[in-house]
Amino acid sequence: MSEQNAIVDELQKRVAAARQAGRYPVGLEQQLEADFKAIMDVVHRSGDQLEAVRGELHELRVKADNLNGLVSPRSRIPGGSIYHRIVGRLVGHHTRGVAHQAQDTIRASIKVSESLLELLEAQQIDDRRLLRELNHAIKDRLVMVDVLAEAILELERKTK
Amino acid sequence: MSRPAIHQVIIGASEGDAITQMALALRDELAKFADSEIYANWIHSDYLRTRVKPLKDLPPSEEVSLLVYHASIGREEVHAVLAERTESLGIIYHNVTPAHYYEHENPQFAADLQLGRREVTLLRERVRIAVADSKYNARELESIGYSDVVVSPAGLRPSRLSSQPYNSKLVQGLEEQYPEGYVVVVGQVLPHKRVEQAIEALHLYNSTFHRKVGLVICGAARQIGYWRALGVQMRTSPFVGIRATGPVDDRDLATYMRCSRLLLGMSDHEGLCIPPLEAMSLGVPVVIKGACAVPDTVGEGALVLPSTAGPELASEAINLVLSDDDFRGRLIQRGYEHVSQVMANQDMGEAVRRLVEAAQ
Repeated sequence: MSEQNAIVDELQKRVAAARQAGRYPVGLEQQLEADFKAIMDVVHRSGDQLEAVRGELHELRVKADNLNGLVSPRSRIPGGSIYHRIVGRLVGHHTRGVAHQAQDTIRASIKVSESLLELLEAQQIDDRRLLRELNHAIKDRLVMVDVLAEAILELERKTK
Repeated sequence: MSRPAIHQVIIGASEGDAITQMALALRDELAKFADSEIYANWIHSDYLRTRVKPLKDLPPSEEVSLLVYHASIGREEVHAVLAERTESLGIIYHNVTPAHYYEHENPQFAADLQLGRREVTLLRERVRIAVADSKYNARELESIGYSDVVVSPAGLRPSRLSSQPYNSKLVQGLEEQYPEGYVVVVGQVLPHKRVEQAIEALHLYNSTFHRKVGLVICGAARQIGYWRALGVQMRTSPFVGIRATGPVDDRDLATYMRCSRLLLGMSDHEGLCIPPLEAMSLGVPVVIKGACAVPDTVGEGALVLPSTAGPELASEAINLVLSDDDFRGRLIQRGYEHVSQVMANQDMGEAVRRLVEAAQ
């Protein structure tokens, strides 16, 4: 047996001893695996919907960035584009100002929405964790009930 | 006789990426015998743009003697280019991660991986020379009908970090954060790398043996869902002080590795696995799960756990390496010896000779 194999063998014995002594509870690795899978599922499920909202917010940001308050010079009427250009120059100062105000308002709204999204994500993760903990606690209690029932039966057997 | 033209195609070129490094080293060797360039679908740095050309600039097939494709993942756009070409092909196989790790989490990435595997089979009839960077990868190629596969980790430089200086500010920060030292995990943060098992192993080690050893995770997080899940797990692992660095440059990587107490690898799938060799060259002991190519790669230079090992066994292995100075010393020594052996056997000659022959 090579030194590698001998060492791994010894380590496996130590794990077995630790399990026996209760330092590594029975089924710990399976439990850890299941817990991480549950986290992945939660992240994946919440990710789908919240990522979609994030995508929509991104589109809104792009649209807000493109707001410029300029009057389009295009016209279907011959000579109309010259008229549009003149009107655009006359009112441009005011429309650009309004566009800037709208941009600021939309950006502030996006910021608030992003903060809300982050809170939602954190809340979802906490909720799932709480549910898992409750689930574990209920299972523990059920095990205790089983143990107590066994003990009562044993006592009954002895007192008969 | 005019010089042949042997060009390489890689999916993406980025600094620190093993395939890019290997392609660059191979190009330097090939250039002694042939006109040789590297073409990539994506080029991620300005420095590499001076050394790697965009795929769209690939010369027409008539001007290329041999096109060498580095297979690691599939991309529709790259596959479309390869499918249209008519010159002889060479393939360098770096392994394709099984798609099942990503089917749930990232179906698009899983589809790319499936294409990568299919592509290796589809190209077989056109391939004149096949090179695998590990025996494990050669066996995979042979299992899908390739023959006469050359095994050569062409361009592998395990001691490339040895010449990097320390980042002294980083050293100071690490000493302050981790007075009892830390374990380092190096590699992309991906589901099949099982970083969560490394966190669990450290959690068990610290809680069972009453220690406060930290964990530094060095590598880019490529899958956002997995990364977020790890974030949740880190918050529920109070016994481990974790630093996740994201991608780092070679100087910082060398510093993180040199200052660590050991390198831990819990990956379930590796076609070659370079970080443990780099750690060995820096005198850092390695504890690693023996998945796929890992036992071939690390030999006797690391403490190799069974491929089914979980956090409990890893925790005991960490304890052994950190508490038994004699064993630790022997492991470090064996690591140095193994890397020297890898370097001594590191001969690109055979791969280069066969590639040049195939181009004739």
